[in-house]
Amino acid sequence: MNSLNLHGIQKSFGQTDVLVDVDLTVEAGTFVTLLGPSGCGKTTLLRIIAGLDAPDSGTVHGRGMTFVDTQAGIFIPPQARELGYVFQDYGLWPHLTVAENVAFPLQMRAMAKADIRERVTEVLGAVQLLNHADKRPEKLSGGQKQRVSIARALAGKPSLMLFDEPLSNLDANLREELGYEIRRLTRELGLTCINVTHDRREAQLLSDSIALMKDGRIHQVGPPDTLFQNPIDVWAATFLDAGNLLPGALFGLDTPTVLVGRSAATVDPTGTLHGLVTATLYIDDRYESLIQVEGHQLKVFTATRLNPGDSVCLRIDTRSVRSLSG
Amino acid sequence: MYHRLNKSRLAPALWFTSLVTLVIIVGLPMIAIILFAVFPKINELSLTAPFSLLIPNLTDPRLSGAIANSLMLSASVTAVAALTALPLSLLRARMSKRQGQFWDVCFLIPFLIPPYIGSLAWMQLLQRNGFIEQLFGFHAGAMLYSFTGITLVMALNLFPLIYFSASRSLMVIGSRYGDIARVCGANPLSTFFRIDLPLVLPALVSSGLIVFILTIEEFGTPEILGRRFGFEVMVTAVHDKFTNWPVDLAGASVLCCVLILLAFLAYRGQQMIVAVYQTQVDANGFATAEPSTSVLLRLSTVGVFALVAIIAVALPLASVTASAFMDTMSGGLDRDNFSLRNMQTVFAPGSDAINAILTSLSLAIAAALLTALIGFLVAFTLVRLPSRGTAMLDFLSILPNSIPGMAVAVGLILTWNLPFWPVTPYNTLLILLLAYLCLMLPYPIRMLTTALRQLPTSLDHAAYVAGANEITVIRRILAPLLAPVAFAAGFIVFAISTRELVTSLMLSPPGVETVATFVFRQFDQGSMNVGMAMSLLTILLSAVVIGAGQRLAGRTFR
Repeated sequence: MNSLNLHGIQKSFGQTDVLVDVDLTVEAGTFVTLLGPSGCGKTTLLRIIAGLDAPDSGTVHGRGMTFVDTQAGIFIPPQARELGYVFQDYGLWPHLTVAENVAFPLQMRAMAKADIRERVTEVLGAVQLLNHADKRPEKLSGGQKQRVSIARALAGKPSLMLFDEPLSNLDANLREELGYEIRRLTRELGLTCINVTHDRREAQLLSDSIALMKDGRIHQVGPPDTLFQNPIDVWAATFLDAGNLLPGALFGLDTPTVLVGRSAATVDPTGTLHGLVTATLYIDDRYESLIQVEGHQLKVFTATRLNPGDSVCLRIDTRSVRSLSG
Repeated sequence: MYHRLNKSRLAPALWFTSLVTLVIIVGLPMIAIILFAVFPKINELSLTAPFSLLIPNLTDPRLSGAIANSLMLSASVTAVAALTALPLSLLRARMSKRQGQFWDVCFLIPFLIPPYIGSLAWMQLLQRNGFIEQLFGFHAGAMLYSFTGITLVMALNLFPLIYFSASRSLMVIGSRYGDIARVCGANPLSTFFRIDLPLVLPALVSSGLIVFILTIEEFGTPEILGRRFGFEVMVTAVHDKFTNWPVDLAGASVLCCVLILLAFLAYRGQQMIVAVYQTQVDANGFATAEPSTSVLLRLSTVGVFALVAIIAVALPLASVTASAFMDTMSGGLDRDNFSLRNMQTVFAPGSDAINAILTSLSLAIAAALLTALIGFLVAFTLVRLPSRGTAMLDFLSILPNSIPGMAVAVGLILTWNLPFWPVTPYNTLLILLLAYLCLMLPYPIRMLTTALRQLPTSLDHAAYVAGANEITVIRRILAPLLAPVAFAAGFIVFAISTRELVTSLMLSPPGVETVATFVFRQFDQGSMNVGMAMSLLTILLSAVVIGAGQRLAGRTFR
């Protein structure tokens, strides 16, 4: 009942097709991220779900009702869809206090004042901002602002939450912390969530499932692990940075390109591939080296430091070699 | 059609209201001018003999002479103003912050002096037996009543526009690009010509075009100074066609068309320059130039600024003030001639002056409130509810920027004199209000659209998603956020309305005077001192109101 279904969504601005025949189902209580490069149509799709944009054709069903059906001429405006929306730039009203910002959706539903106060306290408590209730947004840090934005979205008890790159304006440590918090809150409340981002880390951090988008189409859908282990083609593997891309001939395969999982390549004196280290760096408690093999570049993790200029032998676990199309 | 369902029904209603309002205020007068220029018999509601008077009018030597004079005057005023402003703004860039702020305030003062008052002030200074002759024993009447005189008087009034634009641009450019050029081996001279000048050129040209437009629109100065030596420009020629019998509606319309076309071209040029160059300087390297430490440079800077300030600011102000407190003009600068009589005349209960002040104040308040309101509505429609007809609305909202006051007056006369209106605002104060609205609308529209564009759309969207409709978004979110800007725009409109001359002269119903027409009539009747007392009040009022408006505008939310 709280699932979201998009069917045959088309949208073009002038001559450019922004969305081409998009079908997408988001199961109730799951968190789906639309991931893709800028211009792939993901933000337009989110705006269409929210009602801030209308598709040229197609249907949108959510919360057990029809949001949009172009053939039947149905379009529910955003104010009647009762969803939560968390904006990339927070979208907090600068002339209202934190509590007033959070109270706004409740006032729109003409709730009683006492109930509003109670609910505002409740959601501000949930995002740990109770002692900032009377501050103006300008006094808050970026992370706090985004928490207010989340509290405001949650205030009206929506069953469907939309996120527009909620973490992209935050610095690295905060992103992870808030990411875990969004995960916890949305799962506890059993919310159906759609997130939009171009950042694969943000997608991995938040999602049960990722819909990879390219040129206005859904390119591939799957849980993060499946998606990153089995990208369907060269473009997906490249965009996801899923591993090393090498010519199939190196492994005696017919396919022009194969994907080799990053941890599948190890430096081993008995390895059959000969390579030259061109750069090396230390990152996240391990060494990462760029190695040239027959004119192709591989990124390889090692426990010990390699030096640029070193000749090495690489062993590749052939079980993790996947043929890619395109 | 399905697209109609995109938003609620309120959006088209708001859109329609904006469009109709602009069509009535801006569109009708413009259409009337064009129709009268093309169809000479249109006031008899006949479309006969289209274009029959267009060519004869355009080839009339008097008209072509006025056009040539207008263009020559505008070009030379722009050139003189730019040549005055450029060195000042270059020196300004190397000043300490406090010193710079002082001179900036100084050069704001010419904005407070309406050009017609400035011209009258210069007359008192330079004419035979004027203040200069009384103090220093020489007069420059011959120079004042010449092309050079008009050019200088107008350039002195308008150069601050270029000064502020260029010095602000130089401040944004900062010293960084120049420093990089130095590091690459350029000497100061080639740094200036190869780096700084090209970077400041867009600001220079675009503000120069504004000066060009303001000059070509100006009525007071050519009327006051030019009439003395038979110098006619387009605006004064149009005025003549209305005041001299027989009234030549077609001729006035043709002239107005040319006037609007020239102003429109200059305005479009200015917009294009701004659009092309605005984003070129990356603001990341914001570093203002260090204040100069050379004593010689600092001294000569003060000298140059003081000289310009004395000529452009102190002399006209002193002239107005002195005239305002002199018993008779012929009595000269003498202690015995000091008197408060002019002020008493102005403030005498029931006097023409008091009535003029009250008329101007009520018109200005109405214009300020209405333009702020309409400006807000139009800005919201333009920025937040774009639809297929936006181009039309956009055009109507920008058009008044390039309609000279004289053309607005002519357009309104032509429109509301047509026989088929059941009621007409003509010959009532309402037509003056319409004229002020048309002339002043660009200020609130420009200020409010700019401010609204800077407000992220997520503020609106968050409200829509939270269950608000357009009216709630305007009332609860945008209106409180933009109120300070709307106030500031209202104050500017108020200040300019209280001194507006051209449409007031052309459209005032019989027996009604505004502050500007009062001053103008005093000059015509030879009671210069009373006129100057009123002028002084106008200048002071502008200063207070604009100052208060700026202070309010500073209180915007971040």
